[in-house]
Parts: sequence; C-alpha cells; structure tokens
Amino acid sequence: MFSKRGDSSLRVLVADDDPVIRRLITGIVEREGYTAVIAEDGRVAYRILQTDADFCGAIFDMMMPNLNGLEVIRYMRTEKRLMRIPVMMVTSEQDLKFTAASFAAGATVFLPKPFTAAQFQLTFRMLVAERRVAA
Amino acid sequence: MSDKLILLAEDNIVNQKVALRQLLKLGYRADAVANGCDALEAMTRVRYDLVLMDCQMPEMDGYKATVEIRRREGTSMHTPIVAMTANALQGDRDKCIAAGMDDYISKPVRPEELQRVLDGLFAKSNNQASQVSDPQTPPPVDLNRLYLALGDDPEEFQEILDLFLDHMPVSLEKLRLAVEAGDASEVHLIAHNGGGTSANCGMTAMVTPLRELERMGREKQLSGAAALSAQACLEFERVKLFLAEHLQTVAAQ
Repeated sequence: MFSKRGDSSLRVLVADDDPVIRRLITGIVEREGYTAVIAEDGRVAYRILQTDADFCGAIFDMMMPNLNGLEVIRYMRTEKRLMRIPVMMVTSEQDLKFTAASFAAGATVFLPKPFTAAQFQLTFRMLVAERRVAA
Repeated sequence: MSDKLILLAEDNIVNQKVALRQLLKLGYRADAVANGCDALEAMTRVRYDLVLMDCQMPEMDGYKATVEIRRREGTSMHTPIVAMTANALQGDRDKCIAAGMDDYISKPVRPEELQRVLDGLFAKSNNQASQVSDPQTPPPVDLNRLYLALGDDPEEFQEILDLFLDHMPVSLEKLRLAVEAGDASEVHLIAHNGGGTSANCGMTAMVTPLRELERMGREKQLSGAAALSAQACLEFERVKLFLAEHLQTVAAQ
C-alpha cells in the first residue's frame, strides 16, 4: 500500500469522560488487537492530537466537558496530518439531529447508546476497515 | 392452540421432528435448535415460556446451557426448563435439578408424560407470575442488557461492574452539589453521562430520574431537582442490592 506515517498504526484514541464506558470500550478495542490511548475528556484528546497523529482510529463521546466530541472532530478535519483518521462518534442523545451533526462535523461512523458489546465490536471493525480503504 | 411458546433444544433431527409433532398435537407452538449455544442465542431474541432441553448435545450440552440460562436470568426471571434424557437413572435427575432445571422426562418421550409435565410447570409459572409480577415495581436492573453490554468474560464483567458501583456514588454526589449550587449546565452534563451509562449497562431504575434531571439542566429549570437527585441515590441503592443478590445466586451455582 501507499504507506504514509500512521497507516500501519494499531493505536486507537478513546475519549470519554465516563470511566465505565471508557473501560467497556478499551476492553473491546484491546481484544480486537489494538492499543487504546485514553483521554478523559475532549481537551485531553485535543492535546494528545496536537503532537500525536499516529492513530488508526478515534472514538469520541459526543458530550464531554471542556471540549466536546464534535469540536474535536472539527479540529481534526482542518489538520492535514489528522484529517484521514476515521472517527466513531458515540452518544446517548436520542435526537436524530445529533447523528446529522456528527457526520457534518466529519465523523466516519456513529453508534447510539445503549449499545451491546457485540454492536460496539461490529462498529469498531467498520471504523478500522475504513482506515484501510482510505489508506 | 396455546399461547405458550416452547423452545426445543435437541441435536438429533429425528427426535426433533418427533418432539415438534408431539408438541403440535398437544397444542403448543415451538422453535427448535440443535445445541445449547443456539438455545442461548435464541433466548436472547425470543421470550420463551418453556425450554425442552436434551442433555447430551454437541457444542454445549443441556446442563451447561441451563447453568448459563440461570446465570443470565438472575433473580428477575425463571424460564421453566425440562430435561430430556435417554439415561433414566436417579443420578441423572439429580444432575438436572442441580444444573437448574425444573423437571425431567425420559426418552423416548411419551405424549401423556410430556403433557403432564408441561401442565404442571405452566400452572406453577402462571401462579408465580400473578403473585410476583407487580407492574409498579419492575426489577431495577435489566440483567439481559447488563450481560449484553459487559460481555461474556466473567473477570471483565466483574471489573466493569465494580467500576460502575464505585464511580456512580461519585457522580451522584457531584450531581447533588451541582443541584445545590444551581449549576444547570453541570447538572445537565452529569445527569446525561450517568443516565447514558446506566441505560447502556441495564441499570434501568437509575435512568428515569437521571433523564429527568438531564432535561431540567438543559432547560435551566432546576425546581424539584433536589428530590430527583435524592431519588437517583435511592434507586442506586436498589440497584446495588439487586446486583449483590444476583451475583450471590450466580456464585452458588
């Protein structure tokens, strides 16, 4: 493949301010053979992304303090080194307008809560497959 | 035709057909699967009134499947399970009951014996249903969703559950303080996260007060929020008790 920096990465950025959901997500990510890099909220994710673009995917909770998931994606989509990292948006917002807002901001896949472990695993596989296609 | 729906788990295709025909003659609708794994899978999709379980099956036998069904049901549900086995020995009967089955029929299955066992169990479950089921108080935890969300690995299940039980009081305390301080956006954020996580993990009782608090925070209208925040704490205690009881039942198996 046309290898660029990060294309072969097995690291996934996980930003969620809830420790239970974070643990659920990282458990599945790691079982799928990836390394999870944790951010406790959007601002931490933003700081990591300022210096580190070596991710094959990112998973953001939509509603986080300081900087929310949509804001982090918007930032990523303006940065050349980050714009190709596929992003999964997770949210318990029931309103369809948030799905639309996620895609408008540049999310690759969208997973509404409540989700089961199996649903998350499937969506995650779509996310990382997207990276391979994009690369 | 009865309104009861039966799941038949039997790997032998001839026995399966015979049993299905017998059930049909007795007026019961039934689905058939060929092993314990498929039975578990079917039970996550359809609510069966009773399971007829062959004991010797490939993949997952009837004993293992029963233990797993009882683990998933916890104390909130009890689907009657009837063992079917060719070895009509007293020891087998004990083994079936120990695994969590309700009754036992020997193979080849005779229609009159099948009828007698089904009648007995359906009468019992009808009685229990009318005694126990109180529409005012559904169980505080949806165990099915809990297991679907946390996955099959027992260690990981326990770890995530402990994390939930440790973290929720912290969130509830923050929520109480935010309500006290009249900080609507903080109430919105904490209630949103707590409600989302609770819904995701099947902690049903927590969801209603937290969703209501989330709405209040969003609309910046906190009158009555203190009572709801206290209710969320009470519901959390119910959840904790229920889970402790459930885990004890599972450990006893």
